[in-house]
Amino acid sequence: MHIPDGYLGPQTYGSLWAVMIPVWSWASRQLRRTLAARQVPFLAIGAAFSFVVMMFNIPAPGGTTGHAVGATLVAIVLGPWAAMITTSIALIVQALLFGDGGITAIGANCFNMAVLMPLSGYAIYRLCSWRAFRNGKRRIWAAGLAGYLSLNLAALSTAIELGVQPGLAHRLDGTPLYCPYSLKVTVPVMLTEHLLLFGWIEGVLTAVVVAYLLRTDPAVFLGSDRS
Amino acid sequence: MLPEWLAKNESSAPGSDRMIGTHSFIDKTLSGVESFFRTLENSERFAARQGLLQKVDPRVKLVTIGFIIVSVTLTHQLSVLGMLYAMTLVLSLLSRLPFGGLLLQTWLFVPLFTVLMVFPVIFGGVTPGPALVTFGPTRAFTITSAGLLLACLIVLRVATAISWTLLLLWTTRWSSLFGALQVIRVPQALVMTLGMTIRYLLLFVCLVEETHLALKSRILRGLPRHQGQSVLAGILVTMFRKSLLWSEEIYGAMVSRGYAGRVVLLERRGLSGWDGTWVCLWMIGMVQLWRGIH
Repeated sequence: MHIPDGYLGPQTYGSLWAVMIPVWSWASRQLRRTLAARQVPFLAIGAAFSFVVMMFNIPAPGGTTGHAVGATLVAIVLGPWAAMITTSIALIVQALLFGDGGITAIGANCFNMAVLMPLSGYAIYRLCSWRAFRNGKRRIWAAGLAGYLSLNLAALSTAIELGVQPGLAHRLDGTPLYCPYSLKVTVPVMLTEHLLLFGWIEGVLTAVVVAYLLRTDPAVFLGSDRS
Repeated sequence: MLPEWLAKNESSAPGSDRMIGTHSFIDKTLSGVESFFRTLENSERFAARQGLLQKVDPRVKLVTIGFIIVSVTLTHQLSVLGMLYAMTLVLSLLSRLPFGGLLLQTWLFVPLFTVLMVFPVIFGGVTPGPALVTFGPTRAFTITSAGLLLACLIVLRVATAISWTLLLLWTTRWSSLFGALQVIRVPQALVMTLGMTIRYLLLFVCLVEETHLALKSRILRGLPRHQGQSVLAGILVTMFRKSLLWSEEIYGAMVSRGYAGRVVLLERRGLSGWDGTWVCLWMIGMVQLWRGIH
């Protein structure tokens, strides 16, 4: 889902950078209110944890494996604002150090995986686990559903960003200049693979980790439940 | 003598169809860890070489190469993109970077996906235009000149952007690269957080490697999928707990060294004549580039 440089036109990546700068600033202010001086080490360690979650290969049905993004998991355990910043930092490190995702596309990648995913995932989790017992099984299902749906939402957003390129930037004869496929192609292609495989991997990872935490250390959820 | 459970053929073991064969998820994660360390090590090794781009101040390099990458995304002429790509090859030689490594990294890994993605674009069914070649049993497939041009444009643009990005990453130490972000007004707290993230990332990745190696050495056969998932959950939860603990300990250590929430970065370096020369060359290049674009 990491968009490289050259797939998005300047209108799209420029707009998403313009969206992300105030979003980062706002999320950072929200965190500063609660963490104060502790913010820097907490975010650095949280970002390292987010990065490592993305490195894990998760066994999936059919003997295959796949990577998860983990943004919803981080949102459930650390809170949505922390997840937005830590996942963004992990994505920036991936782009600046490993060339994973384009530099101009950092805004778009962060919008999809560090804003849409943790916010929607956290909202779905809270909605589905509303008034659930602290150790209730509903929390596990809610976490799995949140992981599955939020990843698909992020995939849909990526598909839309790619699919609008032919309409936004083209030559006079209509030849596209960036991603050449329209929404009719990008949306089904991105959603099929995420609905059938990667969404399940994300959902399973989120559910099994939340189940493990609920069984061994339910107090961890106190922080994120309050935020 | 081998115990019965070890002598048993794995494929005939009960439930083996649900096993994850040959530790695939463990091996894949370990391969990712190896690639992570190799990338970091290479980048530090290349950045320490005495080459042309290594001599340029990281702040100057970040801004100038950043502008070039943005310009690459704005370019729609194959000739201009070709020239920009050729420049990365020349600069890689002058910067003593591995020429083959740069080509391999640029053309084999990421654009392989791009080439596959844009492949259908060359056909008349997707991009109408004058036919270059017609083939197939009923001459149903047509490669159009407009389609081929579009495919080349997208692939070359992605390859050129990646090549410039690699030049930046391979000629700049990561600590200097993050420090250089201040020049584009990235807050100091974020710069410090990025630096700390890399340091503790190394620790985390070592932990991932050790736990996966330990897991691999203890598993003779594959793991059932559910068991594999729950083992990974255990590892992740342990790492999460460690991360909370480390965060508190690191904060304590920072406070004991005088940290009060204000970040001061130590690296301060003036610009040299070499940086001025690079900026002049860059400006001449950019003027020519923009003439080419418009």
